[in-house]
Amino acid sequence: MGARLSYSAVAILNALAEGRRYGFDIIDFTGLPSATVYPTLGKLEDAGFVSSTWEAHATAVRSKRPPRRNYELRAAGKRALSEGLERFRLLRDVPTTPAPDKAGGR
Amino acid sequence: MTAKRERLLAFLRFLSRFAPPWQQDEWLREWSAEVESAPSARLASVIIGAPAHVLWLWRRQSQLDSIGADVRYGLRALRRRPAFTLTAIGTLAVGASATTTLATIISGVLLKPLPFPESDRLVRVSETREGAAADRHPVLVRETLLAWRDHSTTLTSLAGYSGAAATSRADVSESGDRVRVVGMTANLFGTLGVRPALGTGPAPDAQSADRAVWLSDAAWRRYYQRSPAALGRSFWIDGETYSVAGVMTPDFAFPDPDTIAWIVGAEVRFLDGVGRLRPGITAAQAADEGTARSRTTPGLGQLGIAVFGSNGPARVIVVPLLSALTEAARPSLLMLFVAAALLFATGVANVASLQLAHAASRRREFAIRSALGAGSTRTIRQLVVEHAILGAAGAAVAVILTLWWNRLLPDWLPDGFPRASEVTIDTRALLLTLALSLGASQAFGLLPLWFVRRVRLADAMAEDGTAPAGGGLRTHSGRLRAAILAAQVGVATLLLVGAALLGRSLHALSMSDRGYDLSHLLTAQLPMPQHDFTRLERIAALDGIIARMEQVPGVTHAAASDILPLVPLEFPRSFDLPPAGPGGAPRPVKAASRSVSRNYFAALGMRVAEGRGFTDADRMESPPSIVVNRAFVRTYLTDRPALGTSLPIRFSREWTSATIVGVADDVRQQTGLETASPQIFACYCQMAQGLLGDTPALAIRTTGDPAALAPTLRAIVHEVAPASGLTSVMTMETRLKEQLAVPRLLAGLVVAIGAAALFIAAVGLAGVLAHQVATRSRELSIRAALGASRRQIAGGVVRGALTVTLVGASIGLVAAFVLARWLSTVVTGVGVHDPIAFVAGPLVLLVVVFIASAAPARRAAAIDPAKTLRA
Repeated sequence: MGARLSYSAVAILNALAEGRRYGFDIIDFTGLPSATVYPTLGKLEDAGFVSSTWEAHATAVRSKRPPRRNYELRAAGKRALSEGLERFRLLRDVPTTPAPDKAGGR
Repeated sequence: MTAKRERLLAFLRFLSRFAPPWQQDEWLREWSAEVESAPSARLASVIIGAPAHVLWLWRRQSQLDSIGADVRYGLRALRRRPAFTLTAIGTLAVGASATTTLATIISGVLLKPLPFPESDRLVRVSETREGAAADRHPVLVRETLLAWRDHSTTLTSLAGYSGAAATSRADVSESGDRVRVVGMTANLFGTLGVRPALGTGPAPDAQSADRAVWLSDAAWRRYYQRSPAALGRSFWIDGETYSVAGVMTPDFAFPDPDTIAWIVGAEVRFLDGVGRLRPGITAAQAADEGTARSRTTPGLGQLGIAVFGSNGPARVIVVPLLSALTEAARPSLLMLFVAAALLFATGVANVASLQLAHAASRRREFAIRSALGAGSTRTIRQLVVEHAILGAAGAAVAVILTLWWNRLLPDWLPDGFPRASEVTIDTRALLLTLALSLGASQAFGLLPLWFVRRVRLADAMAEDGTAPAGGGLRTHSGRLRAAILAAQVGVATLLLVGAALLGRSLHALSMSDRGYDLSHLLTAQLPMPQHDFTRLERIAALDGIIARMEQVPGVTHAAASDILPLVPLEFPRSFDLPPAGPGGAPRPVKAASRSVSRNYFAALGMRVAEGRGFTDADRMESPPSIVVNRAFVRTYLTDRPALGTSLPIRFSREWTSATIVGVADDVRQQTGLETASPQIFACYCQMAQGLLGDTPALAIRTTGDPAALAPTLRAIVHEVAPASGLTSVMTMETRLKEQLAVPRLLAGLVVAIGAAALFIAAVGLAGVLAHQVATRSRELSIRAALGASRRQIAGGVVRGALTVTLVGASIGLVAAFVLARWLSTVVTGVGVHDPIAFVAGPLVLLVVVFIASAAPARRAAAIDPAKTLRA
């Protein structure tokens, strides 16, 4: 991943900073297509900006669905995000929508 | 769950098979979780998003085009197969380190030049007589040495020496130590090309009367704390005073590391000879000259028969000193090296076989990667890196193992192992470990490589791993794996037969009837140097000790002799046997002789087959009596009754002849398996000259544990003969155990290597069968559906295993039969083509093959055709 983050990468980092955790949640938040979100998450993870963990089995069982892969911002990701936000001022104006509860739901 | 979600999940399952294999599970879990929890409106995006994600994963893979990425990828791929990775690393580590360790021993012991200048010109010089027995300690007759030494055209110098046990002390008041001392001609150091580190070597005209001694570095340290003031000080050897003339360098250990002192004077008739060839002269040329020189010397007469067993023309034998010093260890070392290398090869073959099976299942991955533009070089590099990681990890463990084994080595090597101190792990050895491990890892990596080059995308995509009916030997990789397996079985057979031969030999050695009873027997040696004991004093002391010991409760008999059984020493004797009747010619007799105490036969548990042993009736003033063994009777006395025959033999100066009063059963003195040779026993109670040797042996027969009586024996010896120190106190069984240490070590190692090879072959076989059953499940199901019974299906699997085993075992047996003659020096007591060993080895293998094929056969029999064919 190059020194300069793409718009979608910054948008995804921003979504994570706003408390979004998993793929479809991020898609909802950013409005980006799934064909973009998943590869970008992969790139961000390769670059060390983002880490992923599998949701605890118990949590998933309580919500009656399989465990999700949750993504989280790392320190490097936070720095990259603040740089990226400088470049893509637009994103700062995106109205913050409250993050749905962890359990999600259909 | 809605039908739409179900369909999407099925789509994801299908799609996941196109993801990079090491990411398939994770990919499927992530997307399934999203699909199961996403709002219905979002589900449509999966149809585009999921394939795009798969494509991206592959593109990322081909973009990660640096070695670093290859390493990361390789690590990930290996982590996903922990069992394979650990097997491969373990195989590499054990195989490479075992091979290196043996290579190091071979290099240090057999190949490393001796620590003397221009040591390739040093030779051992010995001689024999035409028609002599082959297996005797090589000696050089003093007359040959003298006739050859000063006028040699092939040797720059020729030296003689003779080692012996002696009691040494640096202070008269000390009790002294039993050590090895070498008597030598003055030019020994010069011939070898060494000088003392301290002091000077002997002058060319040095005589034994000069009473000078050169000490080893170890002796200098022990007796004089490395003080330079040691030069000129007195040193006592067997009671004689010598003056320290020099100290040798620490690495000087000739002829063995046990020798601590060298004195000028080798006044024995038979010597060890060492020479230095003139430049450009071969050993054979020197031998020719030596033979010619030796034949100019006067014949040895009866002594020639006694020593060589023949009085034919002399023949001098010249061999490089290095091979002469190590010839005893060479066959065992080479055998172990070959066994370890074979084990390594079969282990590597096993990993190759695993990789091959894995390559078959990775074909799809390779095909997709090449479709995405990864050139075959790229894929090949990835595999090379993956195996280099394995090789490096294997090498790291191997280096640790090698260093560790090398630390243990001195304890493993039996006492007296030649040049044990020369075995060192150096950079070369570690580089060898590295090369072996990395090389082997690439060797088993090459198989999938070779396979990858044949991957065609269309074939790989069209073919499902479980689809083909057939499999087994019909595919290329199936045939290759079967061939590998057959080779493994062959190697295992070869090693098992070798192990069985050595085991049988060891059994024969420990179980042989030696003609005496080893149990309940305490033995010891009692050095009585001429300086401290006259011959009569020696006898008086021995008789005193015997009488006192026989009073001790738990002792049934006590006896003395000049040599014990199992001690490789003999006093040869020869004389002309008069013909039985008139008109015959005298016959030359060669026999080993022993002087013994009266109850020697009873103490050793020897059977006196005819006549009697020695009794109180045999006294100094009664006519000399002797006892011969059966071999003597068989060889020389078939034409007359043995008992009462008078032999012109002179054990003692006053004897003119002696009468045979008894015939003892044969005693096998050494290995216990050699052909018994003619022997004559005389009682020292009838010999004014006393015992033949100055280090008599004691034998105490007990009713209980013989070792428990050792302190009593020491106490009595201390009282009766305070000037003598008891040495080598041990039970006869311990003595035998020590003698069998080398065969036991050898047999143990080869059995361990054979067992490991068998295990590897069994694991390999089980793996191949399991793989076959898995890939042939469709075919087996069709058979079952068509009416084949479970028994027939399981039988088919076992039959397949047996076919491979029989082919492999036959190859192994042929190889074993051909190679067995190399074992002739280490296998005694059984023939090298011993039928029991050749049957037992494959039999063990067959049993193990049955066990190994049981699980796959059961799995094959349990296949449910309805389930498999519907899938």
